[in-house]
Amino acid sequence: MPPITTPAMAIVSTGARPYPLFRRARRRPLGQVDPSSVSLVAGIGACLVAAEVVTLAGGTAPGVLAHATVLLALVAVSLRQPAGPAQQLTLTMALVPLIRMLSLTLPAAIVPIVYWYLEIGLAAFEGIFLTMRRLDLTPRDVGLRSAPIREVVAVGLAGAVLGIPAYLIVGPVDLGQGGGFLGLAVASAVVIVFVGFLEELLFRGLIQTAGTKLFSRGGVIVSVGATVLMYSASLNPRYVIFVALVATFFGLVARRSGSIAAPVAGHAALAWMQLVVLPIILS
Amino acid sequence: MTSTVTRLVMDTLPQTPGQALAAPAAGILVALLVIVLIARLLLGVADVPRSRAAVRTLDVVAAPLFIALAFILSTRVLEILPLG
Repeated sequence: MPPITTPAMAIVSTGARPYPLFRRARRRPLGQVDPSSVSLVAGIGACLVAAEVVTLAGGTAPGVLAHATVLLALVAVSLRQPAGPAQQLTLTMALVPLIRMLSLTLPAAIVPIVYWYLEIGLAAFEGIFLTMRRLDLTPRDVGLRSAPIREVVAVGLAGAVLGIPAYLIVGPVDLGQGGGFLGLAVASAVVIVFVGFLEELLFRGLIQTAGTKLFSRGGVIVSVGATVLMYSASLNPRYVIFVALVATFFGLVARRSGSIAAPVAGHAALAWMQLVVLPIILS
Repeated sequence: MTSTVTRLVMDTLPQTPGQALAAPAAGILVALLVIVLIARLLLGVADVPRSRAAVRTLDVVAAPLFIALAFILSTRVLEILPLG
């Protein structure tokens, strides 16, 4: 009786693509997950959700107070932890309430939205770089390494296409960058660097890397959870679901290649199309 | 800019940078920054193990908050100046 399944080596030897199951088997196994790590992530997630609920229910000042409390708690926990993945995840997750505090306190009334992104982004970049210094992380450790150009272009094009549903869900956003080529250039640069690059460096570079060290493939779930939490303030369920799906896609791409180059290209293209290009074309 | 600011908005705006910093949201941020800076200074002179690592950890919080404080102050001054 002939075998039902064809040996994988036979397929490879004929020049065909490797059998998918064979490729999947070479990936890192799930391994044992430390229960204390699960408790840690669950606790951090619960605290962040609670702070977000306080923000939405109580307003700005209680929200800032709640996020400040969570921030101090996470910093205190990271100080007590020994060097390792748990400390890395705790300290990187502390950047989430820090950025929420910045977005709640930095005034946006008389400053164009594009410069508001710049203000938050500069402070957030400082926090990310200092976190990397504290944890002795090199740029390669957070995924800042080269990736196949075909993958970068493909994900970038996918991001540009995904900018259309994002625009349709959220609607036009006036960045207030002013007219002319200079305004377009400034808005494009700010959106690409302080939305696309910054968020991917934080969510996929820092948080997902730390989550992967703790949970292997579960690192993608951790980064998607953090992304959804940050976008939940939009109070738009359709947009939150869309963000969750896009974050999962970027997370899987980053895990597969070990680089955040392609997710950065995709996120930057998405944000550029959604916030800069489509408002000009359609308004 | 003055012409676009209505009477109602003028009444609710802080009149000085100090009043702006006493506003709830910014006040919490400033208080947190002061707490972190004091803790950082104390840890810097404390003879305890891992104090250098602790100072670096607090820098992660202090530096972004300091940048945010600079932006808050500059924006508040921009709000106040046109009102005379």
